[in-house]
Amino acid sequence: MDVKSLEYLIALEEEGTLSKVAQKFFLSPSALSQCLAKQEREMGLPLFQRNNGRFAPTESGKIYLKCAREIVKIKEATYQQIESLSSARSSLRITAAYQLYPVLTEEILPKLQRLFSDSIFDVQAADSYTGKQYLMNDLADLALLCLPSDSNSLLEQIVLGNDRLDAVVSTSLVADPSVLFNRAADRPGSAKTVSPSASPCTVKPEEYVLSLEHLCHLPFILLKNGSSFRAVENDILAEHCIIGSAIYETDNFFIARDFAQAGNGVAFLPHSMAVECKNCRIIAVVPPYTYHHILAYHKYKPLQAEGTKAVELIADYFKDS
Amino acid sequence: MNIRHQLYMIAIAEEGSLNRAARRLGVTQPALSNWLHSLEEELGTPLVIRTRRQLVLTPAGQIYLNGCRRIVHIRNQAFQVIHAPDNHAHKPIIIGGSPIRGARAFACIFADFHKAYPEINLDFHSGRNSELKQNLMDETITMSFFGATDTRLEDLDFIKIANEELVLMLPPGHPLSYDTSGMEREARLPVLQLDRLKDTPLLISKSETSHYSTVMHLLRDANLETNIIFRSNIIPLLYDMVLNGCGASLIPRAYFSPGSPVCAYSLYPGLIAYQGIALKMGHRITEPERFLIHLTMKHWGAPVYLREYAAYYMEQNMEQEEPAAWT
Repeated sequence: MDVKSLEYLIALEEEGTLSKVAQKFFLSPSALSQCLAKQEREMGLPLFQRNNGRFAPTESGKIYLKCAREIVKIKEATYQQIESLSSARSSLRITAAYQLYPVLTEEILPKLQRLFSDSIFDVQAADSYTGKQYLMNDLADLALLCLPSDSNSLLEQIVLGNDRLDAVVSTSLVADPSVLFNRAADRPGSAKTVSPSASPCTVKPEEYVLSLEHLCHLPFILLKNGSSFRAVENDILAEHCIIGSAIYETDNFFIARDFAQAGNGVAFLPHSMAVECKNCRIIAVVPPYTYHHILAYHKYKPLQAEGTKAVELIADYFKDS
Repeated sequence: MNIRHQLYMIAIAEEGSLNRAARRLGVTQPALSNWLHSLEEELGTPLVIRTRRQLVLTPAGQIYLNGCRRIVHIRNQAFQVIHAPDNHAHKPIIIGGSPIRGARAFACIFADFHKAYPEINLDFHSGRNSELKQNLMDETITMSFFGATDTRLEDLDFIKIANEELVLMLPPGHPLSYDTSGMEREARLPVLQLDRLKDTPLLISKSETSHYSTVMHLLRDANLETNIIFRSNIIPLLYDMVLNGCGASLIPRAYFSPGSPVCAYSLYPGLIAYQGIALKMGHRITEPERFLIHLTMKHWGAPVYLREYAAYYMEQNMEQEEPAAWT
């Protein structure tokens, strides 16, 4: 993050003259003056005005400097965070898939902290594919993953439970059944299978049966390319011969859920998350796509006491629920 | 406030590959790779894991990325605050575009825009590509829907929204035509070598279109220049003429419909045009203009990947929750 020039201008406001700032940063005053000119060109406005040889920020300059200070602060915080990450002697690093992350932080972590009050725990939410890479590259000790298969030669994997993907759509988008059915019937080769048995106008929206094909004309909200679930979502769409008219890409299921609830389109969500969506219809994916909740750690890297206890706690928690 | 390096990091994270990120940023892949390397050295920790499938950010990389995103966001906000004095708030926005497709896009987005910014006058100005470019340079229009065969345009900033393939459409009854019924709209099309059209009359667009020079180049290579019998820039007209058996034409793929007697072939290599929005280079996008760009992304007809729009939406939501502290 190159914030040098921002630091110069911040110093210029504080010191008031080019020569003092130049001295402070071991620069020539002309280099500094060029730097100021460059920033002003980029912003398209003068940032400083000269009064009796002293530099004072203009109105725009004041906004600029406020923002510059904020950026310098972010830079410092970022570097510090990265620094503490590499120097931290954390006893246990756990990464969890986004949908399992709340369980980890709310249920498991407090218990662990109580048992090991002096230990430092490092938790992070990440896509399952990323989580697996973290385990393999020694960036995490334990991982809670959501994966379809449960075998890997390098990782010890414990299956904790199962979930499946459902399609979720805001009721506002499926309020008029006749539109849905007509649109779906327009698709080549699918006319026979989708027409409803009852006349759609007499059926209430909550009652008629919907399948994924009825939603083909709506936008789809998918996870971003490269994440472990995106491949699955692509498969589901291909299976139903759906080409989304528009495809939104989001970082994780929580964003996808919010986006779907706001009525932007159809999202695929874990069943456990789908049932809690408000004002939404849940449409089962046929054939169902089920996956495992998996607790994984490296086979050839022994876990510390904290790790062993964490495995126990997590297994217990999922056994009960 | 140079945010080039921040944009590098964001592109790497979003594209998941150094190669694709380099292409998006318009830099060479080794240059980007070197930049990343020296950054990792400076920080003393790896930022990405290079796996076979794609790049994965390490926890440190994730922290660095978040920092970059916040910096870009703050910098954009500062630009807007500095460049949006009150007298500019109600400045009308004039959008340029082609008479048919541009107008159609404009019609799609008008209602949503008017609802969000009723006080801003939105106008449409139609013209050909060369005229639109001139208008952008003169600042008689604010931004323009634009089709181009290259995303790097001289003097213009181009925001790419969709790719569109130009396909060769053959009239009904042509010896090379095939049955299109039962095809999926998005199905892969068969490929045709242009030199097989020796005896087919051609209907071609005029020199003002974005893809003219590429098309002429292809025809010259295949020795087909003498086959051109008609030129027009009105794509629906070209399509109807193909339908009526006047000849073959290169037409955007969106016009192809399965079951129609007009069949379509891809060319090899494929002829891709980019659809997007052009702005005068260095133009600072105001908040209403940004909203317009995202509306256009949302309403564009062909399958469009809306990473940007989803991110924009979340950003707006977040802003409502915690207003910027520094303004």
